[in-house]
Order: sequence, then structure tokens, then C-alpha cells
Amino acid sequence: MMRWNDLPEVRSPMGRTLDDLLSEGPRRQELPGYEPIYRDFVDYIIRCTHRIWEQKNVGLCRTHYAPDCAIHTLAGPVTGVEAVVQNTITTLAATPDRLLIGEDVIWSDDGADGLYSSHRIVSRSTHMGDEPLLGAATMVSNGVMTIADCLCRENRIVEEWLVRDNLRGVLQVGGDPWAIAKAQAMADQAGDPDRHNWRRAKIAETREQTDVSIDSDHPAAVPVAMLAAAFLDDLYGDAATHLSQAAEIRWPTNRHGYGRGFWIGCLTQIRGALHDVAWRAEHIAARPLPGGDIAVALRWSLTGVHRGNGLWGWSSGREILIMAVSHYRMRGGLIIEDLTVFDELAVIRQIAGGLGA
Amino acid sequence: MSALETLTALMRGEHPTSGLLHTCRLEGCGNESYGVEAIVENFRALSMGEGTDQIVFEDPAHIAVFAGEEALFADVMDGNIARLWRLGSDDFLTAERGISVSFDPDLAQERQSFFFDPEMHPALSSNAVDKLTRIGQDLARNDGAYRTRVYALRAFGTGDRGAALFAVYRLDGDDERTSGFTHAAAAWGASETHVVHDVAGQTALSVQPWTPHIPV
Repeated sequence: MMRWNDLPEVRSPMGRTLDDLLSEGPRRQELPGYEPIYRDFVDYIIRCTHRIWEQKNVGLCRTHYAPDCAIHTLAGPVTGVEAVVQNTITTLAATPDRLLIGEDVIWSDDGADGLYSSHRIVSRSTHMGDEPLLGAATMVSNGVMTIADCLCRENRIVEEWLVRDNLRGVLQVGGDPWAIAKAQAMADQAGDPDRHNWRRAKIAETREQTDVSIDSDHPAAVPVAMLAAAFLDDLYGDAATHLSQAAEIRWPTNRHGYGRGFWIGCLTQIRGALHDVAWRAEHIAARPLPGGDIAVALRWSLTGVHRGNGLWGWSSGREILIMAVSHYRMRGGLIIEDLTVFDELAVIRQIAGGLGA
Repeated sequence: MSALETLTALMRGEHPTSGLLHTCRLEGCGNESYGVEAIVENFRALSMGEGTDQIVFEDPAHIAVFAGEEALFADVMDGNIARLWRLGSDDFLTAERGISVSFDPDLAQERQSFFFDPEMHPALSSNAVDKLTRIGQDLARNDGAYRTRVYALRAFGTGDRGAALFAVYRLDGDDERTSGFTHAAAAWGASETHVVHDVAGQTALSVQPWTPHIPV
């Protein structure tokens, strides 16, 4: 099984120019079943994103997604490549100049399961067309962070976990997040309630708290221990010692600050709203970065009962699910950067009674 | 283009022909800009440092340009600007809404004004650690806010010449407190230190409502 720091020739996109990233050439990694244009797995992720979204060859999804692919989002699952094609076209119709600025691809070789990528993107675009989430065109240029975790086999994404900072996007165009969430919740409450069973199943999985297996010398052991100490044991001070004193923290909806105290504040703000919580680490990956730093990707889920007033309005009593991905930059055994993304709009949609909550 | 040439072009409000990574993020003038077009737009809206002598500090991973009361600080990767901070201008662009985070910077009754792990800054010589510590502590002590804490984000150089970028947290105000982060950049020589503050960031903080919940 490949170790996290094998294949150093498969480089992170961090610090590389667009010319370098999109240059064509010989393979740098064995990729059986992948199109010859892809030089390594990072290139596959960066280049197919560019080909589909920026070159507008959306139909390439049909050769890059499994026909029955499963896309997991906190707003509900999406199944099948045709749904991916339609959603991509709908998004491009409203935000046609969309740049998917790939900040990093943190990947792992999961053996027979395939290659797994955690792709951090800042989507920069102009809201030129009417859009289901953002509403009527505002002509605002904005950018939010998305992390797409993709399990890939032979040129195709077979399963995807997609987290996007949607609430920040709504605020950037001057939208009303509660109005949107309540409208979504009303629509969720109509029709077949069984279509929300996925959320109940996911909450049950999270409550089982069966973490992904992690070798003690894997870099991800540090952030997993940090979040476990916080969310499971409520030992926030101890947890924060895994961060450098001036660590940079970015959490959803434009929470941006520095230091251990600020990180604790991001967590306790959420934990104060949620009672009876459970937390689970679901997938890890790590890769070397230029200059000796290490990039770590951690996909995790959190569930709890919304009984705390404040962050998300008055207590609703509903059981809430959060699906998140965190990217960390580590130096000298400490975390110097925590970039965490989850869809906070889908959180308040649940609080408003949507998604089967 | 060299990193300095790239920054100089931006300071003139020009689109650099190269040297600015497509993944670059600019923080300054009270907000953030992603990508080349947005960054160039920011500098076109608010040009800087025209006709002012520049003092430049550089190493393979950083560049800092001090031009009078303004400054630029950048991460450099293979000669390209990877991340950029702009300080000094008192003009601010529209601040973005978000969720305010309540937090305790100290986690202890014994106060610590400056947060700095020297081992996180490999480009800073050991003989500069004490100097940087004094600069950071002075920034906090002389700030005048109710509570000021300073965080060392980037630092490079020696005891005789170097530059650093800080995050500055302030809890301030009289009847109603304001809370948030801005930045400051410092350059030092053998005997003098020059500091530039993120004035626009301070202004932006003062006009933003405190919203520790989903903004309405």
C-alpha cells in the first residue's frame, strides 16, 4: 500500500503556474485506465475540472463519472452522471465565467477502492444569470471555497463528497439565507418523506462513531486527535495545543482569524448550539508540500440536537447533521493553517425543518 | 518578471504580464480578492505608493515592499506571488458580511501579548528572534486598544535586517466594543523599526455590525 509521502514527483498544485499545471507531456504516475492526457492523479483532477468547467466541455462528465455515481452533499444526494451534467450546465448558465481556482489536491491511493482526491477550490465567478440558490442575477463577482472529495477508478469518479460554503455565497450576492432555507424546507416537507432517509442513515452512521483507521505515524493523526478531543471530550484547550500559536483559521461563512483561541471559538460556537453530539472521522489523506510542509485532508461528520439559542436562531429541537472537510497545513508537527468547509446553508435548512429534520 | 517587478506593476494599477499566480489571494483595503483579475481590479481602484521611495526586503519565499505609509507583503513560490497583503491605505472597499466569532485570545489569566513560534519561521535567523519578539510586544503594548494581541504570521531576515507580517487582534471601543483582526507589517534595520498598519482594515471593522449568528 502506498505511503502518504511516496511518489514525490506527483506534486501538489500549490505554487505552480497555470502553464505548468496544464502543460502536456509524459506520464509521471501509473494510471491504468485513465486517458493518456493525464500525467498523474493531481493532473487528472486539475485538468478534468478545467476541461469540464472552464473549457465548457460538460459532456466529458460522461467519461469522467461513473453512470451511477453517487454525489453526497448536505443538501441531499445526487445520483448518476446525467444529474451531474445538468447541474453543471445550470450553474454555468448563471455563472458562465466561473474559474475553479484549484488551491490543492490532497490525495491517497486507497488500493482496490481506487485513488481518492480532496480538491480544494475557490470558485470565482460573476452572478450573471438567475440561479436556483443565489436567486435573480445580481452581477456580483464573488468567490467561495469548495472541497470535492472524489473516489476515482479508471478515469471515472465513482463517488464524491462535495462541500461548498454556500451560505457565504448567498451573503456575497446580498441574499437572505433564512428566507432561502425556509423556502427550501417548505419544498422538502412536500412530497415523499422517504427521500430524506439518507440523512437519518448518515446521522446513525455518525453516532456509531466508527472512525477511519489511522496509522499513528500518519500526519492526519494530529488533526483527528484534535477534533476528537474537542467534539468528543470537550477538551478544547488541550485540542488547540495541536495548532501553532498563530495558526490561520478559516471556517465557513467568512469566519477568518488567527490563533488557538479563535479556533476554539469556531468550534464552541457550533457546539453551543448542538447538544448530545457525536463526531466521526471518515477519510484521511496527506501529501508533501513545497518547502517541507505537509497537507492533510480530513473528511468528518458531526451530529447533535439543536437546543442552543444563538448561532442558528432559536432552539429548534431538531437533530442536525454536518458533513465537512478540513484541509490542514502542518509544519514541525503543528497545524499552521485550518481551512474547513461545510454547507451552513444546508444546516439552517435542517433547522427550518427541511431535509427530513 | 521578478516578484518585485510584479508588485511594482500592481502598485501602478497595471496588469502584470506574469509573476502573479492564478491562485493568489489578496487581503487588504478591508476585504479579500481571489485571482489575477480581481487583484488587478483592487489595485486599479486604489493605486499605491506613487512617487514614493521604496524599501524592499526579499528572500526566496517572501517579499516586502515599504513605500512611505503603505506596504505590500507577499509569499513567493518559485519567483511568483502566491499570496499578498496590502497595508496602509485608509480607503476601504466594501467589507464582506460573515459570522462573527466570539473567542478568548488568551486561554489564561496570565496575559500573553505576542503569539510567536520561532520554529514556524525557518527564514528568520535565530539572532532575529529577540528583535521580532520586542517588535511584536511593542505593537501590542503601544496600541491603545482595551485588548490587543499580536500574532506573527510571516517573518524573515536577520537581526540587522528583516521584515515580518502580523495579525493584530483588538477588542476596543467604549460603550460598545468592536472585535476583530487586522494586519501590520514591520521592517527593521540594525537600529530602527518601521511599522505599517492596515488602516483600511481597522476602518472596515469599525463599521461592520457584530453578528455572532447568521446575518439577517
